[in-house]
Amino acid sequence: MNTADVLERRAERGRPRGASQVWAAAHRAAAPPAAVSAHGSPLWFRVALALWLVGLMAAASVAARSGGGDTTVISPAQEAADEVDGVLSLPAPILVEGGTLRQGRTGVMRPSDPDYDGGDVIDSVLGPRLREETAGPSEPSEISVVFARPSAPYEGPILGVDQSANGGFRVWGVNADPDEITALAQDLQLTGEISAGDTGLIEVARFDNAVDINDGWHRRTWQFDFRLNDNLGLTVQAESGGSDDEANAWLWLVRLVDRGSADVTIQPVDVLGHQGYVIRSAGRTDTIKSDGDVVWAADGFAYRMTASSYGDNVVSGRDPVLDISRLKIVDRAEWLEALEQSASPTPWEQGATILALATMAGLVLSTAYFLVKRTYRSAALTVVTVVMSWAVVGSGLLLVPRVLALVGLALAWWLHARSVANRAAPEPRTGPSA
Amino acid sequence: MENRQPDRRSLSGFELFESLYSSLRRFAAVVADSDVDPDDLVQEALVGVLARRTIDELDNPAAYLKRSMVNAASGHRRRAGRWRRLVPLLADDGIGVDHYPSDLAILDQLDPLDRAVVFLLDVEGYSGLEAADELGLTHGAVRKRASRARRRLRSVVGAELILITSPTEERTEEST
Repeated sequence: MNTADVLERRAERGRPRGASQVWAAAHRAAAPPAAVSAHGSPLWFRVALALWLVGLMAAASVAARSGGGDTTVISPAQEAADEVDGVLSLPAPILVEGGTLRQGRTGVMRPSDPDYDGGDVIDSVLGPRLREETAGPSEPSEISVVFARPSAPYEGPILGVDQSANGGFRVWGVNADPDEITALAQDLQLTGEISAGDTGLIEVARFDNAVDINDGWHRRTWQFDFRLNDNLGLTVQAESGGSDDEANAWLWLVRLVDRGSADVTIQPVDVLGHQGYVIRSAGRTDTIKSDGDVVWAADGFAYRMTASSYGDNVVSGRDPVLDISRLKIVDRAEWLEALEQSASPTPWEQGATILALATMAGLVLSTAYFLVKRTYRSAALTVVTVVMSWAVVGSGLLLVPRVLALVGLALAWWLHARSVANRAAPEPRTGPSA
Repeated sequence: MENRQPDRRSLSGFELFESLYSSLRRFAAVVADSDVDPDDLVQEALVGVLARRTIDELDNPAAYLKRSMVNAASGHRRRAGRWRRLVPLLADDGIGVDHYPSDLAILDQLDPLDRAVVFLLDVEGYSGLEAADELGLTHGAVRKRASRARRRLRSVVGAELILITSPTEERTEEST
């Protein structure tokens, strides 16, 4: 036996385990401990989770502020307004030629009077009445008196006196220059009973607690917003409770000038066969921009129409006289149909509703699945998503909550997949069997 | 120089290892001490590779693994210390000793690197240069280690030594 034989025998000692086994064992030994870490989620996940939580909190906060439910606050002046006798009737079925009632719940506003009873017809068409929050007038007046010429009152100066609850006076004028108004005001009798004094005018109207309509919603007012095209709109308001057609016109005048504006004019105009008036004032600062108001009264309602144009996020006034001819009286059925369409959800809203339902179903089913698979962190994530999504229901937020819900669902599924992967034993890289 | 490496162009990592396994195991069986399983030494060397890279990333995986095995075997040997070297002597009471002493005892007396050198030269048929390249040694170191190892083995085995050398090396024949 030589050295080579010895070495050869040595080289053949033992029983080989085979390349496959050695390879597999080496890979197992080479794998880092806890190769797929169950802890320490990647940075992007933590950032996404943080942003998602912030988004949910913000959406819930907005929903809480926007409120839902009965939060009507009636202004003190409205509370003291004349009581409504009996049931408020429906206004005239007025629609606008070439215009559509804007969809959504702001398209048609019904009176907020608790005693208002629109009957089954309106409730079935528009759904449950929404109670709007109202604000009181900035400076409620206790008495408003209007003086005008005995004949052709709208062709001459018109004076008005507002006496506030604390006894103060405010005099305003229409269809006259400031100097003339000042001179006439000096001839008014303002002590004791307010009267025309030596102005040569006569009292044409007297109101208690006339309300500045731009400070709040009327308890007895309907409002219809029509969209003519993407840039033009018309608004028609109808206030019930007036029995004196002419007095209602003066009431509108009192309201519309009770803002310290100058250069007010009032001119008669025909509206749907009724005596109407165009009231214009320069330098108006009302939030609802218009270049004048067309007012008229009919069948116990006082109507007001304004026209606006939209562009570059700015609302500008338009001469409402240009759109008087668009007003038309239609069948009650056609009017109700238009109201119903205005209250119907837009395709966008319908899609958002479907998406919301699908997302909610996905969240609920995913939660059940995660619980069965014992990926509890994912289940917690979907539960939080469901709860927060439910909290924003009715807030008016459409897109944001849906997106946040989908993001939450995606994060939960990613977490689930990661958890499942962590549980699986790391597979060694094995070759084909020997 | 003979190309002892398989064609790696189309081999996966495992396939490459599988092609080398037989020679690696034989090498490990020689290099490792008798109480070390050859497959364990191969595995240990392979783990060292896989911890940082894949086997097919190596230029010469066979050589790399063999060097790793030599280092590992040396490490085992150092950790075992004097006690392992003493055991064969203590157990050797002269009774029942084979006329041809066990190769386990013989080779364990050699340094793992010496065993590797003489194995590659005398069994695997490597030339001095090839063995040097394989083990990461100089040619002179290979010749020195081979000479030392053979001398040690001859003193124990006493068998005729047949050396397979390259034409450039001196051919030596000795008879008992």
